[in-house]
Parts: sequence; structure tokens; C-alpha cells
Amino acid sequence: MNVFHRIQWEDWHLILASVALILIFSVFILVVIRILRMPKSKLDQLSQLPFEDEKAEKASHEKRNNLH
Amino acid sequence: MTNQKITIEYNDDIVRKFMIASILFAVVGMGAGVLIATQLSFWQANLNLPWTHFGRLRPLHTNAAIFAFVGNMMFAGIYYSTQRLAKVRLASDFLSNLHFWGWQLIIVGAAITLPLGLTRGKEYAELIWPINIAVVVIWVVFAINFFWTLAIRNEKSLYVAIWFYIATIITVAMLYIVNHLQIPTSWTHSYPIFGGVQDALVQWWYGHNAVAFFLTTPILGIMYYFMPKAAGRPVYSYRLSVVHFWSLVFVYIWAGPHHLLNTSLPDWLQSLGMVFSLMLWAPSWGGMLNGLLTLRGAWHKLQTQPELKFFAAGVTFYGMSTFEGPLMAIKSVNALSHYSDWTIGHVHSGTLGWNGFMAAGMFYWLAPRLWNTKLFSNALANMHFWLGLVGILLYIASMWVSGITQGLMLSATTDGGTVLANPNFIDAVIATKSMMYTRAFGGTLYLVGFFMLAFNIWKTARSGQAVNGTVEVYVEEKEKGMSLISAFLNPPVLYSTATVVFLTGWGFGGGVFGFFSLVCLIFTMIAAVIHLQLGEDTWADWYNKLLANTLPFSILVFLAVFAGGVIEILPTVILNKAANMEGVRQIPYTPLELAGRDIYIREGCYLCHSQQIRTLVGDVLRYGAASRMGESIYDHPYQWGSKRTGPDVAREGGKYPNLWHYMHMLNPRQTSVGSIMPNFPWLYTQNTDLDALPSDLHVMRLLGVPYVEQPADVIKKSALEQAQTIVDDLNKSGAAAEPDKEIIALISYLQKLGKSEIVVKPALASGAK
Repeated sequence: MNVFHRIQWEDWHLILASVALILIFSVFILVVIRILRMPKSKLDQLSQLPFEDEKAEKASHEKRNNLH
Repeated sequence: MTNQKITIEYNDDIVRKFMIASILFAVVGMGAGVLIATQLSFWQANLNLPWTHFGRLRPLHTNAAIFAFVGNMMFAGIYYSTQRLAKVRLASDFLSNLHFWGWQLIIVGAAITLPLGLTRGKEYAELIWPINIAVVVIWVVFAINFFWTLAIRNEKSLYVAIWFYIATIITVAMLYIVNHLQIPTSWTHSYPIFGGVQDALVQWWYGHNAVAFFLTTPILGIMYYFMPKAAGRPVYSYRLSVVHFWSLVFVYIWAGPHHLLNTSLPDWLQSLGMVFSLMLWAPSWGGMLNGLLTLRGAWHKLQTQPELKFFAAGVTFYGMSTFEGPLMAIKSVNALSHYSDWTIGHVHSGTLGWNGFMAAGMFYWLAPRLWNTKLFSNALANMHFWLGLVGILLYIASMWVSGITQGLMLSATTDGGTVLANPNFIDAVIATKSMMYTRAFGGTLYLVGFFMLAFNIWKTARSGQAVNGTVEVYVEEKEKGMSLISAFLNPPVLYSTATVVFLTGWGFGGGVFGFFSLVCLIFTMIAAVIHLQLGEDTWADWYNKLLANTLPFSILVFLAVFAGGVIEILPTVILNKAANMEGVRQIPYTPLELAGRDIYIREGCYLCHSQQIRTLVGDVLRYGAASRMGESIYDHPYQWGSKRTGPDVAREGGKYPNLWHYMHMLNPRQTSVGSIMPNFPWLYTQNTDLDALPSDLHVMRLLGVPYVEQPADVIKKSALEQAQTIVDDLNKSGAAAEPDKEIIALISYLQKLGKSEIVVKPALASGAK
């Protein structure tokens, strides 16, 4: 028990790899759960964000060209 | 809710500026790369000048490629896409311009100081301290401009590309500041506050994550924005992009120690680095597949849109290099690959393949839009693609062959593993010479491709007119933001934190504490499930609100990367130095040796010669007993190196007479036939800067090196006395030398390498009682 205690508290850095793994895995699970529960409509809306301004911007380019 | 329609004119002028700067510095940086690649096969290309030899130009090449080429490209991509994703013009034109001109000034500063030999002696962190401060200031300007833009945005949701940009800004700031903590000795010189193993760990925590968060995450953000735009279809899986982001941010930061495998770095850190590097396979490939699958149904467009060719190949190279990286982080593979050209090939498959091709794709896509015209020549862009691709393949294939040849030759043994099969290091240099020519040729092809790009973009710009994109958007009335307190005092955060704490307590607590932790864990999970069932919206609302609120989100990202950094670095940094010695302690350098060491660093010797004998048979047979932590404890900065173009010099002291070093530096081929090392004739005419020694020693004392306080004239006198003993020895051998010349200081340093003393571990002494 004493030896185990020494490993835990005096060589505490030895357990950090395991602590890190637990930490990362917990976060990973939480993110996966959340993303699987996210509604498809919301995901679609987010993935369309790069295209939202496309038509409007194209129209304003054309407008400018006509002016020239 | 009231909706108002407004017209927004984006600041695309700043995008054009960064893009042009990126192309300009791409040519400069790659040109320097071709020159130093040539020097490795044809030593005369060093030109016998202090400003043009490999040791000084290699940092110029890496800094130009990373911070000037990719940096400017990244800023162009971030500013273009953020404005459109946030549906708002950049917050401040002044800050945008300050960012641009400040960054270019830093690059010019680097281009002047590095050839002059003004360096901190740490890879990818060579720039001197005044420039470091400028980098921090300009990075803060960038951050303010970016976050201010997000704060006034007209789109509530944050697209995943912006997450990657946020992670970049926060993490690079943290890494850069920690790895550049230093104490100046003059306006152009400083010593880092970390030394030896601590410095090695901090350096590679920074170095690895510079790759992760400067060369990868911003480009991934660019991938998630520009690839769907170019392909005309949304990202393959938004779900996967979210998992990709969080996994990468949480895992990447831990992998730095894989650069120090089989060295005197503590074993637990080596294991940590290796395991987390292997874990990186999953998110990296998830992201790579997400990028490639975005092209589903659009592959035919590759025939007509050259930018898509570059994107597809760039993402493929991302997959290839992120497969190769974890592979090389496996200890046994690393034993073969480390310190060899394989690492150089790996790095270039990332920079040329991933960064370079993604940059080219983005530029070809952007140019017609920024100048409101068509691309000048698709044919020329296609030719650039094929030339660049062949160039990369020649480069990395030759580096694989060269690296594996070096690894095998230098570790090969005979007589039952007791004798080296190739005792002369130079044999491996000569054996790989043809590969050096191939690499230079491949690099030249790639450079020619970028000249084509520069011409194509220039002609495109000339044929059109610079325009700023404008859009009309409906502006929703802004909802009240999420406060910092409510962001973190929230059921999901509290339950998750409690779960991790109790899980750790149960796993490692033992006894009553462990049992108590288990009970608490069970109760926490039951409470969380009940809470989840009773108020389902709360959890999702929290996450959704978090993603729409920049500050809490940014803090969460910071905590993710900070946790990795602290857990990895803190133990080694705060552990008592005495406890790290393993029975051996470095003898501090004399003033003359310290001056010689500064010359060694100035000339970039560490770029080709390591000072770390690994715990491997080949290393020990060739160089002596494996290096131990205490042997470099006073080295600020550490000099373990990352590549052996020449042999390790950790135990160089006393190996050869003074005359050998004297002849070797004048013309290495006099002592080592076939050597590709440059000549250093200026060391025989330039005087050692003895006036700097009192300040140098003072700073070393502040850093904990046990020097005794001495008057300046005593320090100089001691240095000259030691120099005279070396000169007397050289004179006896027939060489004419003067004590105040730099070559004498350098010889004194080289003759000191490997000198250490046996010490009794304090822990053993206290254990005895």
C-alpha cells in the first residue's frame, strides 16, 4: 500500500498519461453523443453557411459590371 | 423580432494584399530551399560567405516557408472566409492594415537578421527577442480584429471553419509566448529561460504544435470553406467535421514528445507522445476523408477547375503525411527514421503537398473573384499542378530512400551486434549523395510551378479590376449573448467535470478515497441521466448557445489545449533540477567556452549535428554511453538537434586534438574526405565578442547556472588565458593562430562537449536516513 501511495503522490507524473487518456476519451464521447443528437435540419443549415451569400454576392458583381 | 436589410461591402483589399505577399514569399522561401538543397549535394554552393551558408540560410528557408508563405496565405483565407461566414465586413480597416504591414515588417526583419547569424538557436523559433515581441503584438492585433469581427457578425451560427481559426489564434499565442520566454543579454541576443531537457520538451511542444496549429488547423478551416465552394456542394458530413475539430484540438497538443523518442527525456513522456500521436490517426483521417468526400459527384469538375485538382491532391497529401507522422512516432520506427532525411521528406509532404497545394488551389479560386474576371490560363494552372506534383514526388521519394539508407547504415552492426558495420559516418553521406541531387531537382520543379502561379495570378489581376464583394443581408435583431458564468456554471460542464474527477479518483485513489470516488461517480451519473431526461432542451441549448458565443467557445478551446500543455510540460519544468541528474551533472562552461557556444549557435551547427546520444545500440557504439538529462542541464538553449547531416557531437570533447578542429573548420575536406560541410574562413579573422561575456554570464546566473559573480576584466582575462593555452597547443603543431579569434573560442567549446561530473543524488541521500 505504501509503495502504491508513493507511486500515486510522489511520482504523480506517472499517472498523467492515464489521466490524459480518461480526459480525452470523456470529451470525445460527449462530443459524439451531442453531435449524434443534433437535428439534421440544424446540421444542414450549418453546412449550407458557405453558400448563403453566394447568390447575393454574384448579383452584386453583375450589378457592378452593368454599371461599368 | 425585427429584420432589417443592409448592404455590406467586404474588405477584400486586405485579402489581395495577403495573397500577393504569400505568393512573393513562396517564391523567396522555396528559392532559399532549392539553394540549401543544392548545398547539401554541392558544398561549393555555400559560397564561402558567412551570410550564405547552410547553417544560416536553413532558418531563413523554414521561417519564410512557414511564417511568410503559409502565414500570409492563411491570413488571406481567414479574412476572406470569415467576412462571408459572419456576413460582416472586417471590424477595422486600420487593424487589418496594421496586421498586414506589421507582419511583412517582421518577415523583412527575419530576412535581415537570420543571414547575419542573429538567432536564438531553436528551430522555427530562431528570431531574436525584439522580433518575438513584434510577432506577439501583431498576433494580438490579428486576434482583436478577428474576434471583433465575430462580435459584430450578422450570422448567429459559427461555421466549423471559424472554430478552426479560433483554435489557431488561441493556441499559437500560447505556444509562442511559452517557447519564447527568455532573458536578453543585449538588443540582439538572449538566452531562453528553459535549459536542457526542459527546453527540449518546451521546444517540441511548440515545434510540433506549430505544425498542428499554424500549418494544419487554419488550413483545415480553409479546406472546410473553400472546398465546398469550389465543388459547389456542402461538406460531406458536418457531424464528422465537429468530431474532427474537437478530437484534433484535444489530441494534437499532447503529441510533441514524439520528437524526442529514445532520448534522455523521461520515459513516461515518450510514451505519452507516442500514444497520442497514434490517436491522431483517427481525427486526421476523419478530416481527410471528409474533405475528399466533399468532392463526391463533383469529380468531373477536376477536368475544368484546376483549383479542385490542387484541393484534392492537397487533402490527399494531408492524409498521407498524417499517416506517416504517427507511424514515425512509434518508438521502433523512430529509431530508424529520426535524425535522418525521412523526417525531412515527411515535413515536405506536409508543406509542399498539403500547405502548398491548398494555397495554390485557394489562390486560383480567389483570383478571378478578387479581380472580377476569369483566370488568365487554366492550361498554365494545370501545368503547374503536374509540375508541382512530380516535384513533390521526386522530393519525398528521394528523402525516403535517403532517410532509410542513413538509418540502416548508421545503425547496422556486425559481430553479434558489438561492432558497427559502417564506422565512418561519411559513408552514409556519400551513399545518399545522388538522392540529394534528386531532391534539389524535385524542389526546383516545384519552385518553377510557383513561378507559373505567380505569372498566372499577375496576368489575371491585370485582365480584371480589383473589386470588393458586396452582399445584401437581412440582419436579425441580436439576441442577448451567453455570459461567461452561465457558460461554465451549466449542467453539462458540471456533470462532465464531476465525472472526470470521480473517475480519476476511483481509478487511482485506492482505499476509502477510491470507494468514495466510485460512489460519487455513480451518483453523479444517475443525477446527470435524471437531469437529462427531465430537461432535455437544457443540454442541447447550452451547446448550441456555446457555439454562437465566441468568448465562452474560445475559452473552452483554450482549456482544451492548455490542459494538454500543463499536464505534459509542468512536471518536467517544475521538478527539482537535482532530481533529474541521474548521477551526472554538466560542468558549466568557462567564459571562453560560452562564447564559443554562442558562435556554434550563430552558425547553425545544431541544424546538422545533434548533441544527444540515444538509448540505441547504433548510437552507443558510435558515440559512447547514452546521454543523460544532467549532461545538458545548463544548456540554454538545448542543442539536442533534430537531424544528423553530420555526426553527433555530444561527446566531441577530447576526441580530436585542437589542430584537427582548426583544420576542419577551415576546410572540412582536409580532415573528412567527402564531407559536404561548408568552410568557415571568417572564424579565423573575426574577433570573439569578449565584451558580451559579463552580460551573458550574468543572465546565465539568473537562470540558475552556478557561476560566481566576477568583474568584467577578470572574466575577459580568464577567457584570454584559456584561449592562449589553445593557441600554444596549435603553435606547437605548426598552426598560426591568435587567441582573440572566434575559431579559438569555438574549439574551446567543442573540446568541452561531453564533460560532466558524477554527483550523488539528493534523493538517495535523504532515502538513506
